[in-house]
Amino acid sequence: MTGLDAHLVVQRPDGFVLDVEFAIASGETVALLGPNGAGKSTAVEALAGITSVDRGRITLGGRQLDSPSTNVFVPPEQRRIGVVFQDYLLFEHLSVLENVMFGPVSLGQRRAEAQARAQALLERLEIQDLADRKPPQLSGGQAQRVALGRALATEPDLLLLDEALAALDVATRGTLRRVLAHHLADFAGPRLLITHDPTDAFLLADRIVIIENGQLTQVGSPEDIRRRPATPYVAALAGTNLLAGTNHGGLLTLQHHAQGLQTADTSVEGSVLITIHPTAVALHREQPSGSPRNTWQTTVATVEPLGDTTRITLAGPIPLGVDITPGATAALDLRQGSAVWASVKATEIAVTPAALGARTDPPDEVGG
Amino acid sequence: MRQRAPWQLLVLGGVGAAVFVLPLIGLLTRTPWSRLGELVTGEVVVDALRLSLTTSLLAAAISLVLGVPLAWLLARVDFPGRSVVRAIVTLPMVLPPVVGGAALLFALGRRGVIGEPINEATGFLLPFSIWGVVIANVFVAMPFLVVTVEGALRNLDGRHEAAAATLGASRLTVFRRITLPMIGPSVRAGLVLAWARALGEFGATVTFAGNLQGRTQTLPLAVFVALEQDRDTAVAISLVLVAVSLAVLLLLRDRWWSTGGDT
Amino acid sequence: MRKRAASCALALVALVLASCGRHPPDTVLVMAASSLTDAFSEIEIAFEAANPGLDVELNLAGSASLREQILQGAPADVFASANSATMQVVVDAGAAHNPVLFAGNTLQIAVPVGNPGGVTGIADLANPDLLIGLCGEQVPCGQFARQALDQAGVVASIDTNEGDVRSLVTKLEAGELDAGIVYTSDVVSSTEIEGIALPAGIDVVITYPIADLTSANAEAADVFVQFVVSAEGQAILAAAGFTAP
Repeated sequence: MTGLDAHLVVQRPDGFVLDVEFAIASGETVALLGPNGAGKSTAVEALAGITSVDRGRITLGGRQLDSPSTNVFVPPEQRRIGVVFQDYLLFEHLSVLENVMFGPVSLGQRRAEAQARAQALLERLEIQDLADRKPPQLSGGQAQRVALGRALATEPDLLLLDEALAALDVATRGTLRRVLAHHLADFAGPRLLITHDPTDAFLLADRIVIIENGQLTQVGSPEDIRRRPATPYVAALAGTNLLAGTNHGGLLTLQHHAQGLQTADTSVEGSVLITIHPTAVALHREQPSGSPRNTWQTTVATVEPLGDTTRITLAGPIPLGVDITPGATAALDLRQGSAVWASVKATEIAVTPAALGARTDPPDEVGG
Repeated sequence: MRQRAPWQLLVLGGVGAAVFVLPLIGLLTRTPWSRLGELVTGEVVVDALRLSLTTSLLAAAISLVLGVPLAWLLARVDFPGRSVVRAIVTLPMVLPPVVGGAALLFALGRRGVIGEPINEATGFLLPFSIWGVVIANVFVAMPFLVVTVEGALRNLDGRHEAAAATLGASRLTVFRRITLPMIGPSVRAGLVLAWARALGEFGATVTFAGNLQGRTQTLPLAVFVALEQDRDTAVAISLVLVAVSLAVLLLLRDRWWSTGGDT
Repeated sequence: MRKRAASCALALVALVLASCGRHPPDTVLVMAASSLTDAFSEIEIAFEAANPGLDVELNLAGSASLREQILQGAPADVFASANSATMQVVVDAGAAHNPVLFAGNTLQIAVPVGNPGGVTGIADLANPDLLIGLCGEQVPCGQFARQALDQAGVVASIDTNEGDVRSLVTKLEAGELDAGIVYTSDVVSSTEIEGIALPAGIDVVITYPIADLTSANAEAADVFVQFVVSAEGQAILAAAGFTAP
């Protein structure tokens, strides 16, 4: 088994408990995605060996790195995990080349070989001209590439990127995301991306692990996450509406709202989470006829022009976020307080099993 | 934008400055300028200067080699009794130097707790030798280096060291290639402070190492003796001390104020 | 608030003024050579017992150091020096008058109790394997010691020149030195050093002069000087190992 197998249980002194378990195969990129305070940095520290786990295990490439039950703890310098830190942590008194060489030299490689390897990496990252510069003279994007090169130079068993793009401005982030995607693909081992930015996760990862409050709340491909979010946080990430209720043969009773709905999705019975994508809701001036089984009368709560789309939020009986074109908004003359009819096709309502302990928020929390 | 100072601060600050400037002026007015060249090149002064420079530099070097690891221990390793050890290490900074010299005598003198066995076994004797001067200097000067470096280490954000560890650097490599360079300015400042203190040391030296021209009579001791015999020589030697110290301090300019945290 | 600041300042100034220059008329500030430490401490007790209204303050140091302090204007009343040359300088400067010889002393070789260095006479002071201490040349004790060595024709292998005879005695008592030349009075007053007599024929004249200093407490100073030369004072000095002047 050449990948990463981790079950991290860490109890912080302030009472916070981290308990997540996941595995990453070689050649696979997994994103650990969660809001700030979810426990991501604790996870990074445990994996890197800066702290140890209280329970659980960390196994990489078949080697046990941390196993309290068998009293095994491998210190960071022996773990062969390449880390790219959020603020890069480049060594300011060393040049770019010396930074990238630092790992191989520390591991005992002869300076000449280490230098050659570092040069090659700099060329691959297209920053060979910066070899003699010092870190304070670098831009954010350049520093990020140096940090990546430095981590890759040691040919680690696992590549760990901790909020690698967070320190960059939006424009640079886009470019660097592509650079990162390219070099991640080149890296043969498992890759773990820690981030709070869903775009990073969705674009770079093969699989996403959602972490909230120290717990794992959802695991799946970007598609799964987007289509069937398991918690309000994930739904918000995916920009969709999330409701809770029960499903009996297609008839949905909503937890917080009086209005019922019908769904064509009978895959799950009983307690469910209900997803309605903002683009699946149609708005009408008059009560619509035709196929939609789910129609109800409501009023417009807010109108928010967002360039290509307009985001409308509806008030009760079912508060929802709706994305329609600006043209349609104008044609329907929608403004705050306007009376409308909303309709959703039964085929556009998806259900997933409600996770144990998963919360959904009362009426005024709308997806998006 | 120029700060308008409250007059009370100006007055008090001025008095404070006078505390330092006036004695210096007193010294300059008593200087026998016409004979200065001859006095400064006299045998007593040359011997004392040579001894002072040798012993103070040696003491500074020893303080560096022993003091940096000690500072590291105090800053990074949580061992039982750490605050007591830190207090003891800082003690020479507040103790009268003569007390320090007496303590050294009781420990390392010919009849000292440790000195006696060493003397009987090897014949080696610290008091009344140049090494006695060096030890006395280390005793009073090293705390300055330890305190400065410990402060810098505490202010150091350990994340760069963690990054180095993930790259495969052993703990000693991290210390050598990352920690030390990052606290470089503080180490330099501490070294200069220690050297300056060693250069001016009197009480511990005279009590522990004794006073003999050419062997243990450093510049401060020479001034003390000369003051009672030949005041002109005393003033000349004092001038030499002041000149050497001022030169070093000016050479550093304000660089030594950026201690700890300013990496 | 202003008033308090002003009265604080005033108090501070008063304190500063009070502590420099004048001292109360019933205090006698005596500057005495350090070799007189034990003897004069006893004399202080006896004097204060005999003169209840007067308080003696002793300032003991090397004679040269005391000379400098007096010449720079230290507010002392009496000066007792370990040699006449030092006293003469002070007299010539007009700071002292009517010096009177009140005691004499002789030199001895001193060794730590038990004589670990195996010293038998002044010739041993030339032995480089022994740790030999003398007083520095700038103090009377050191000058006298060198006179004795010259007369004996011995070149001492000196390891340290102490600033005053007291620190020399301290190091001998601690066993850190093997031998030194000190006053007989020092040997008498210490239980931790032994004396070895100098060879016959060595003649070093050591006399202690005492004088009033030109200060405000001329009366009290005079009373003290008179006490020192009186029978009681002389008895104390003799018991401490001093000879008649």
